Amino acid sequence: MKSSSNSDWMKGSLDLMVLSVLAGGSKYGYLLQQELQQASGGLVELQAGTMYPLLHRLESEEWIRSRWDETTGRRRKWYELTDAGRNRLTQQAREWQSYADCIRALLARVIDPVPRPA
Amino acid sequence: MTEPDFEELLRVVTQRLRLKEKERRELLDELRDHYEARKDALLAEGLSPEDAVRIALSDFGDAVELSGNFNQVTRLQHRRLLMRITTGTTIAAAALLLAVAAFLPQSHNAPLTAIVQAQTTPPVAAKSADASDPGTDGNAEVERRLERLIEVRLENVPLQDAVKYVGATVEVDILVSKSVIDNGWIPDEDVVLKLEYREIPARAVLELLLEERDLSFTIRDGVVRIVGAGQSNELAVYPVQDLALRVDAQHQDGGVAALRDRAPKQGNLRGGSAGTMAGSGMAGASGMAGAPGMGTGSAPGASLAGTANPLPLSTHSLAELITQTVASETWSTNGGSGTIMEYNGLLVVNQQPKVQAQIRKLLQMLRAAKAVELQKLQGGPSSA
Repeated sequence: MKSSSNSDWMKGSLDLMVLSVLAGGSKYGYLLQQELQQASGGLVELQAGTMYPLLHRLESEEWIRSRWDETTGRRRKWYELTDAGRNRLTQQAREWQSYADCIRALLARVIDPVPRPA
Repeated sequence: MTEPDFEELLRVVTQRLRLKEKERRELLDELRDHYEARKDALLAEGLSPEDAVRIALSDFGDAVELSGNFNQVTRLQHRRLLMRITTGTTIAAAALLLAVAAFLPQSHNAPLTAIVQAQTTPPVAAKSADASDPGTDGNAEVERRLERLIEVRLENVPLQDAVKYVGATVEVDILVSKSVIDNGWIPDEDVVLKLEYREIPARAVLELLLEERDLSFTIRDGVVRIVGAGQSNELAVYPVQDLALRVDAQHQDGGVAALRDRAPKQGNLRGGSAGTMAGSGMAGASGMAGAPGMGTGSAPGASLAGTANPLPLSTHSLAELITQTVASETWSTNGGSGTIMEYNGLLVVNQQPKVQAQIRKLLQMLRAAKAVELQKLQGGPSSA
């Protein structure tokens, strides 16, 4: 990842990021990496050395599945969400949203401590 | 074409991961595909080939980091498959142990364990008064838990994890002693390639995992400690006067008197007389001819044939019997670390706990066989 200041937060949500990119359709590793980078406005730069082990873990947990495609002349491994993975993504996205709302509300007071005019 | 540096990275990574051939090939294909795609994209952006290679390569980190990341995945995968406690009878344990024994490197040692196991219920109860250690409740409990049957499906699991999960499954604490770690005996890369049993005592799994690596375990203060094979030796003193006395020293004993009375009545002059001639300078003959005679109808001792004859043994031949039948390669005479000495009707044994347990069981069996034999002989004359 590019930024070190927020890398800890990102580590905790990498699964979710990868699953959400795969929710848009099946991808091979390189494509996934590029789409994640674009979707995050260049903020999330997931290294191959981190991404492939992560993909293999998600696959072993059966949130995603893979298949090999050899039609292009280059052997390429594609990943896609399983039903279980889609359910997990939906559930975690909800949890994440409510958590983020909570944090946002708390932090708003720090960033903007002055009471708004009535 | 991929660059030598990248190929070297792949070589190191796949070597460290110890994958199956198919897994290895797929991982190589996948990582190469990424590398090529990234490099092509960088070249298309106008970077020099050198820069493209350098950046594409840096995307993977170093070999240690990359294989470490993959190893974590493998561990997680196998953690789920690892083990499940099942319950079973001692008989089932014995049958399985027999099956396992066939795979143990010391094949001449294993059957004894299996036979002993089959005849001792429950196995932990075999820890008799012979044991020299204080036998704290904690240790006994750990021993009992290690006899639990577990299901094992290990594949490409680091040894350390495999050991840890045996402990977690049967709820015992397993400590790897510092000397073992210092010697690098359980490095992360030491992987258990394959171990699969539907039901097996946890103790047997530990033994299987550790033995081939020259490791052993000992139970102390309620904790299983993994130590180097020679380090686990403990000292035990076995009073064996009751087994060691020669027949002629037992003339006052009713059972032996019965034997003397009964032997000729068997109508087998050679075999019958041999049984009573242990004290008459024909020890060799008595040993050979006596055994089959004693063996008839003596089921518990049948599996040990001649060794079940408790009568003509001296402590010396008992020591010999033990070193030849119990874990023979572990004795100092065969290059191992175990020693056995006879002292005034006592056997002083310095050996691994596992071997000590086998000795205890063997002595128990000998006593059981003797008791059966004496009982039979005592009842013999009256029924004849």
